Amino acid sequence: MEILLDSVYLSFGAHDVLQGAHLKLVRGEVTGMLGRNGTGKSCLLKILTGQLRPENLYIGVDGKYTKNLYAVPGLINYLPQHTCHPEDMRLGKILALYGVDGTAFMAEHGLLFPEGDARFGDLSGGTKRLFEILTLLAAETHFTLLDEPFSHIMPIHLDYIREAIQRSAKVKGVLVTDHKYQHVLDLADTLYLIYQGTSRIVSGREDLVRYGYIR
Amino acid sequence: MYLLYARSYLLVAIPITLAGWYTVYHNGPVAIGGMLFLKLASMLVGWVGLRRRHKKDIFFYQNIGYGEPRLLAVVGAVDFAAWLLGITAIIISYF
Repeated sequence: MEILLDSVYLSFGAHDVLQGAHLKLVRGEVTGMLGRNGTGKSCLLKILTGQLRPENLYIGVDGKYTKNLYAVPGLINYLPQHTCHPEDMRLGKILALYGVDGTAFMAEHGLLFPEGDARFGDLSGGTKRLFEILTLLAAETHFTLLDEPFSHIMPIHLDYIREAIQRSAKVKGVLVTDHKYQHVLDLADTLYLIYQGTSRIVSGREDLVRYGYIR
Repeated sequence: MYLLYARSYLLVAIPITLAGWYTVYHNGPVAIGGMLFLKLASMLVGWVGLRRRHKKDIFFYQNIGYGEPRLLAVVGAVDFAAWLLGITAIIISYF
């Protein structure tokens, strides 16, 4: 199964942000997306999730045009840069709504959430983020889109998230974008760099240097 | 899920519905026009408020299969249907 985003043209007034960008997500792979601030990474994610409507766009799921990815049941879930769950909802309830087995989840990740079935709002900022990432990865969707999953995460948990993403990518497609590029570089089966309005598939650190993303 | 999404909306919508019923009950059908305007205006304000309130957690609702247009439409439709049902019952009893 794959999602293809193609021919994306987006401008804000006279400022052209994306000019023919494309992106392909494949189930069973981690797709990385990097780019300097303001190049359109978040815009691409917003387009994928229907928050932003560009001038031109093609979205296809297995070659079939799809207007709204969320309209396809069980296709995607998405974690924006900020936490996005109701503060007063208990963790068990959130897991249940995502169709995740709460007992199995807590057996696997319970050490990270010693508060047990606390309310989401009772968790610290980093723990909220961790819970959200693990929950979305555990949910039975074909694809999970993660916007800056490594932000606000303490170093000891970064590897934990990387491993969780790798495990999930055996059964689903995962899109990861983050400025902590080394993590994205290590994880990605396919890595896109958003550069001058288009997306380029890059193969490693040398390409990132060549396009001025890193020195 | 709709109740969870619409809690803050209902805190305003229910008193407005009750006020509408009360006004029509005491003043008769002549008050329907004003109460309808008040109801529709409060629904518009309520929708704007809901969108603002759930600006961050709307992705949670989308992730579990409840898109924003659907949430707003169902909340508005149920609210208006309840208002209309009450008004209809009052008018029938009035005559």
